[in-house]
Amino acid sequence: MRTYWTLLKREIIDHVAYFATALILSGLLTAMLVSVVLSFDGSDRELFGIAGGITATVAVVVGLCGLGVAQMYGDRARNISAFLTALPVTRAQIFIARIAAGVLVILILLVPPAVAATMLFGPNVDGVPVYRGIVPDVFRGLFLMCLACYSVGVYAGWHRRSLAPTLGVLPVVLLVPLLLVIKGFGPAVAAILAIFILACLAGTWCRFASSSL
Amino acid sequence: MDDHPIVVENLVKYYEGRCVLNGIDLKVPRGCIYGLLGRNGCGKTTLIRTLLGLEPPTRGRTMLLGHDSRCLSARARARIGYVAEGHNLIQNYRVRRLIGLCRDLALHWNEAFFSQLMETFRLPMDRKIKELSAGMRAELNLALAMAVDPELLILDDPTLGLDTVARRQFLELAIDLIQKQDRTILFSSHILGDVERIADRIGIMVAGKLIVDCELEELKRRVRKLQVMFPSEAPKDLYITEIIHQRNAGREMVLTVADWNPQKQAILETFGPQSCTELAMTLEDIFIECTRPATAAVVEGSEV
Repeated sequence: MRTYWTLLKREIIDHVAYFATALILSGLLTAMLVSVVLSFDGSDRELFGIAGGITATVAVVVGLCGLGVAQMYGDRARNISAFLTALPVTRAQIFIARIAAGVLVILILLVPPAVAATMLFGPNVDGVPVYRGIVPDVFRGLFLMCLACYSVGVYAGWHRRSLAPTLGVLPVVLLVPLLLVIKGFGPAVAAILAIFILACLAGTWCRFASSSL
Repeated sequence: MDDHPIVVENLVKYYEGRCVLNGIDLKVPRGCIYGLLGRNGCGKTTLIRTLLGLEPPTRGRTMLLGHDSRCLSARARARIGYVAEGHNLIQNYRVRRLIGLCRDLALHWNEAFFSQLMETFRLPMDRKIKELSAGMRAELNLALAMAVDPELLILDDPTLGLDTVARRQFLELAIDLIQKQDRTILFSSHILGDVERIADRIGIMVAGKLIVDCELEELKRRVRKLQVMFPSEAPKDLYITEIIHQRNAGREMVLTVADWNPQKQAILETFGPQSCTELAMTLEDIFIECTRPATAAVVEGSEV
């Protein structure tokens, strides 16, 4: 466990900007959610909240894809794994710690708004016409969306030998939130996203485990 | 305890359609200091990287400390120290942070010994790795590799890029460290004098093949350089096998030959030479003779 913790700590320090941004964005999202709910009076003012939400979503998915690219492409460019595997560390440990760092960024981003939403739409709070049961589904969908975008970044970062071609995955990344908008947060979409994430991570792992470092 | 910490079996490696390693077989006994020699691009670094699991082999198998290189466990890696060619350290880290990372990841860390080394090297702890000189990077890399008290130490051209003074300092220290503790060492270098000083077994690679693999003393004993004078023009062909190199200049013939024996001596006598003088050979002389393009195949056939 000490090895995993050390590797995770290294990932956090190396990508501290992403963690800090996730924390700030999480605070903003929570504040925005609270503000929208508390000031809700049945008028169309919540549209401003929706516009802000779309902007935040684009920033989040692009940012998470960027984190994946930065982790994997940065490793390749700076021979980090080549150095680490000369120490008592296996490739599996490096990969797991890296993905754990990505998941941690997503949790930092989503857990505070999720807690706030659970409290705001709780059984004792009235005023906003939202079905309470939708909250877990929405955050599960958002979590999978974030993880899918991050996984695409991880895949592109390790499969491309130069940085510019990784920009080609941006349309795919932007399609992922559209899937949620069009198909909603149901189990079918969750299953599609889960398969997509597994495919991206398994593909990256196969390449990472077998390629030259 | 495995008697051979390094085992290579029929290793073949193709890189972008080019054969980089061509059927390498090698066994390094425990406690041996093995000098791996070869010209640029002959496959030394690829062999070392394959041994460490950094390169997948195309065919064949490599084993370190009894474990397959492709699936070396963290415990097995903890018993290996590696100094990479060009000192492959994380460039944007500060010295202090890199040391901290290595210390945290090590399963065994000899702090007293490491502190002693750092005191000798006097490295600036707050400077970034990329800001260090090549000599400082070499020293840091060696200190990090030695701090884990490795059973097996792999040094891939550790003095590459160092000036003469830094190289000598590095080598003096490395020899001191190596000799203090009984460990197996694989040492690759272009500086043959360095290898000759510390190695007790030699491997010479030419174009992806290991053409020489024997003890240094045995190599020196088996490869002979003779200056033969004839009464008239030296014969073009002596009909002797295992000639590594032959140079004729009028009456004089300089002959480098493997496995010189009474039979070969008798064949030479039939040509009626006036004199036959043995010339002293250093490892560098042997290396140069063995790696001449036209002679590599001859040496390989002679199984030195």
